[in-house]
Amino acid sequence: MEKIPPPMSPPILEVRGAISRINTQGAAYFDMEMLRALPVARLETATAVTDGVRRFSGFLMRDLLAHIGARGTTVTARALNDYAIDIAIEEFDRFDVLVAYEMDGEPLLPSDKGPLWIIYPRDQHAELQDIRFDYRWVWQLRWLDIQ
Amino acid sequence: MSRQARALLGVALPVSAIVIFVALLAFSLMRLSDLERDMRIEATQNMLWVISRAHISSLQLGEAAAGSVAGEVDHAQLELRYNVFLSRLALLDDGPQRRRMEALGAAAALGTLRGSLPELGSLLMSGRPEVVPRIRALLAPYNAALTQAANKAMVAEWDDLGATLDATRKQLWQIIISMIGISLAGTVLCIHFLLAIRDARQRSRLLNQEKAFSELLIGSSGEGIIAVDMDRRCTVWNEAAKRLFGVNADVATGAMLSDVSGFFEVGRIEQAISDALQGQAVALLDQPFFPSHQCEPLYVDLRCFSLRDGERIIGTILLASDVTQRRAAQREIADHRDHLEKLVQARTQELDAALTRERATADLYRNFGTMISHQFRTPLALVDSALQRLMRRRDRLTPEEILERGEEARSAVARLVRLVESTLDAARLDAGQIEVRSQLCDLGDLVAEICSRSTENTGSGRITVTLPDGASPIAYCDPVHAEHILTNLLSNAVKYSPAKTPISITLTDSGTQIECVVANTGPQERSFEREALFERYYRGSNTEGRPGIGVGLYMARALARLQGGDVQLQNSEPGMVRMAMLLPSSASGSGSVTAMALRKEPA
Repeated sequence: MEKIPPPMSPPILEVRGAISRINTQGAAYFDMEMLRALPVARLETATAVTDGVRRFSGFLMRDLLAHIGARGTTVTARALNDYAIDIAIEEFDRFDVLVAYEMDGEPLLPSDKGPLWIIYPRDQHAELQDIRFDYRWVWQLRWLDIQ
Repeated sequence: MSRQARALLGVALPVSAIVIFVALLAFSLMRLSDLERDMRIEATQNMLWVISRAHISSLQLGEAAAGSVAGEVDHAQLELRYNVFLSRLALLDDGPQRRRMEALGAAAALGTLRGSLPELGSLLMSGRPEVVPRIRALLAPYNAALTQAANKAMVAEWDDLGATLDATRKQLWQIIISMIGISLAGTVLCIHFLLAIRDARQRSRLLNQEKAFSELLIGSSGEGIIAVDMDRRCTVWNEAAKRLFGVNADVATGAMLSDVSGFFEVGRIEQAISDALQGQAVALLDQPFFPSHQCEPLYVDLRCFSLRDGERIIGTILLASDVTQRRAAQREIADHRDHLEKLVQARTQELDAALTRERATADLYRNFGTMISHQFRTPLALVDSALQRLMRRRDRLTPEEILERGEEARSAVARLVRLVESTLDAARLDAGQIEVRSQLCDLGDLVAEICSRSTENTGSGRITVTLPDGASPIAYCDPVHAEHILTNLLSNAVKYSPAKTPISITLTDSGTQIECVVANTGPQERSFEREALFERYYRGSNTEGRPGIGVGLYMARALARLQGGDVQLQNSEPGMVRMAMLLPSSASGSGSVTAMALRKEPA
């Protein structure tokens, strides 16, 4: 098992399961600083639950998975309110799925949809404008479990 | 139904069916498109779930507040619950969810709650037990409103779903009816097309029958029928063409015409085909064609016509007929005609000759009759008168007188005898009974002898003889006949010239011929025809009252010609007559002077 540096501040994302790089007790913990160190990705799209087009900043899910050496086929994303959704891992290769920490230049807050929100490029791919993709937009993302 | 209406129906029915078909299809597609669009479900339609999650987060927040007071829940968990609660509230208060909540009549409760959020936050952070009822009191109307909103959302969603299903059902029915219409229109079109196909088949069957009949006509034609396209490739080659050129149709069809038979490579034929390909009609008659298996040529009449498709020329048609037999028959007829013409011509010539002979014979007899009547009557009259005088004066006559009368009568009889002998000579000549014994003969001696004999009758001094200088003229002739001729010419000269006028005889030797010209004074005007002089029994107008039977010159010429010579009347000055006897000279004869003795005629 390779090690990655531990977070310096309270973690906001916890990844476990079939991964090769960890930092704490069989899991990889990330604070905001570590996440911001990942390659920054930007995306402009409308969402199903807000009005108008929004500008999102964050990192690509596949960059994160590569960073921690994920090997599985399914990612289970779980939110603060225990909302859990299974996503096929190859979906992150087909689409530039973003994990956003900023919307319209403002950090996402835990009291709204932050600190992390899974954003699909909805406007860029018509097939994503579907209720079966809408439920994968997990906000208040806290845990990822790779299987 | 009239023809026009039928035709109109034939067009209008399928066109309207197609229009209906297309219109219904477009309508159905539009409806299906609507359906497809309506089938999308927006996240906002999932309001029941959103409301329930908000309700749960509110209830969980209330419990967490109670647990916090009891020390069962730590601060971090309380904050997590509060954040989740705020998050749900924010979601309800945002964009589409907000509008939906307003429609459900829960917006007022949301507004109230948002107004009391600062108080709720501070109450939760205080951690004191007495605030729990207040927190519950703040959340209670929110929870009640969410319950009510959930209720309404459920009803609204089901109503929406029902309405959507109704609309969908209606649209489906429209589509089904459209489909029935489409099927009907399609059926009409199918029936129409089936009928059209049946008609087309029937027409093509009729066309095939006509084509077969045309092929039968072409095949049965006794005339060779050949069609070629613009590249001179053969497209039609019938049975008669096969028989004529000895090439099968399957070989000829598709091949270049010049490859099929050398006949079409001949310049004239090629030119005719070129002309026909440029739109002219050409006919070539009696063209020879040499088939490969025989050396006798066939003769072919060839006619070329352009094949036209409207204005465009697409090829040419050649009609070839074998005219060998006709030509042979024509030639036979022509040969026969030529033969007949020759026969007629020959026969005409024969008849002309016979006519001429008959005329000559008639003339001969007429002249003979005339001569007899004139020449025989005179001596007979003399004999008669002498005898009459003797009889009348029988008592008084002296023997001298009787002798004189007797002499007169005998002289007349002698004349008659001479006439008869002359006539017999002519007859002998005609019968070819005159013999010619040619030999070398000195004409100078002959002339001198005849002159001396003639002088006894005419008196001396009238006749002069001129001989060529030097040698005596030797002719190759029969001396008897030569003497006969010269005697005749000289007696004529004496007889037909005035008394006492000179008569000249001139002998010349040209090397090949001896010419003996007897010249005497004659009439000023020529009263006889040159050639008629030499005809038998012809007597000129100046012979009236003079004895003669008109055979002298005829005999003279005939005898001269028998010896290879001639007797001619020569041109002379007016008032003179020049008769010439021509005989071959000794040089041209077969004998030689030295070898043969000159025969001297006794005086």
